[in-house]
Amino acid sequence: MNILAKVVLLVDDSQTVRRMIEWALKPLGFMILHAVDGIHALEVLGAETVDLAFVDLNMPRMDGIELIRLVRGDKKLKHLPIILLTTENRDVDRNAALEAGANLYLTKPATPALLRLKAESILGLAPSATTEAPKVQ
Amino acid sequence: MNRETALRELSQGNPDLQRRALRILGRWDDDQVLKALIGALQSPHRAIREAATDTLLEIGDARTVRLLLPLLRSSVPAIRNSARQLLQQLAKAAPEILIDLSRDPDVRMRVFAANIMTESGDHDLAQPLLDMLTDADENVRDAAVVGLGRLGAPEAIHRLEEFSSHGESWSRFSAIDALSQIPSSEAVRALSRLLKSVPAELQEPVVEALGRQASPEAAGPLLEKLFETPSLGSVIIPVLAQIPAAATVGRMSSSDRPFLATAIAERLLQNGLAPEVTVGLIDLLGELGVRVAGSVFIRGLASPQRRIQQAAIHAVLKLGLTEMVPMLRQVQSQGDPLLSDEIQVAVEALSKSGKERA
Repeated sequence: MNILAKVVLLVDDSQTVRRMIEWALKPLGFMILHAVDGIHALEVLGAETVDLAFVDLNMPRMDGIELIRLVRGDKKLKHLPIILLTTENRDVDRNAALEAGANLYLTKPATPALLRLKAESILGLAPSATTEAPKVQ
Repeated sequence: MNRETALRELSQGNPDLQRRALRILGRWDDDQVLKALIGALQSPHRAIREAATDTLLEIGDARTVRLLLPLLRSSVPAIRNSARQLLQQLAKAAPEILIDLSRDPDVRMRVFAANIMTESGDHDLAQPLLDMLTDADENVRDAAVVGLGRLGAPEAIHRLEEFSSHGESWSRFSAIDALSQIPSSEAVRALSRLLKSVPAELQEPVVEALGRQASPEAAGPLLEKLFETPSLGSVIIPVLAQIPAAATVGRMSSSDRPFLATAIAERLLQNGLAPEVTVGLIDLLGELGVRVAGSVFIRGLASPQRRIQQAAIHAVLKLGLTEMVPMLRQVQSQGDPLLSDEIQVAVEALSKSGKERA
């Protein structure tokens, strides 16, 4: 494990989605952590230093927007970059997420190349050779 | 407390009284009570929503399911998620309502239908999920693919193999992942075929899917791929640890064993393996019966994890590595009573076999 690797937290109740994002980001060499909902994510964020979080919107126990509000209200976590990734494509959800403090609102399906590009961009990393330009959707 | 008092307390703004009322309202399940409970599910207080959820689960009939459906259209994520969770647990009470939802004109509702069927764990809902594979929306199709995997639906294997073979890489990934969750020889065979046909970027997901099957049948295709494409060793070798070692070795010719043993030893000498993978690979080394660099076993014996030390002791014994006796003695002197006994047995056996050879 590269101790200098960026740490990315994937928050989604679907294991398949978490695995898919992990696979998409693998070429970037990030260290990946998983959480199954907002409450679990807060536990992980309390114990680990995280550089970026991909967060789903609809999750049991605590949804993505509530999680983002709590993160933004926390002195230590408030600057954590958060990408909300969801199938919900209504403006009401997009606006609520951005108002809560999400840095980016992405709707599924998102190609692996797009996920890598957005992760690199939000972390201020130069685009890697593995990140080809995503298709226009 | 009677029904009227409970309904009155629920309608007032005191969360403590509301929770108390919610706890006992399950004794009555008339329409007025149900509607009051559904109303409480929309409370801004999580504790109230949770209490309402518990009581609605107690009632848990088709009327409840019908009353919950409109909440999935709420603009408040917490409300639609509470409804979704309840519907997952009540799916068996009214599957026909969920099947109707899977044909809703709103894509979001169809995604919810697939997700609810998935989390219900009810295999009877596999057929409606199969029907959703022809949905016009890719998110609905993807949700159905995920669901068929979660339900472990063997009747979906053929369709999932098709989904794994065409289309965008992310949707193919979902189908491969779904195949990994169906405990069946047919799913292993489908993944084995995919291992030969998918493009390079999807080979690793297929390898990992075969590993999750943890089936002896997965060993053959994985070994074949490893010998054909040694550069995939860093992915395939850790996955072999999930398959019973005897099954892997039983599918190999003796001439191929040194290659695999060397590749495993090299991987073990790198960092980053989970303890269970390290144990599985050391077991596999022992089973292969091929001598490799002693540094692999020195590292295993020096591990802070007892199960890794135990695997190394067993492998050393199996391979008859008499030169490891001093290291075994050193570990024994550290005083772990359980290990000490195992090491004693190993040292005696190794010494005896050493004398016999001499």
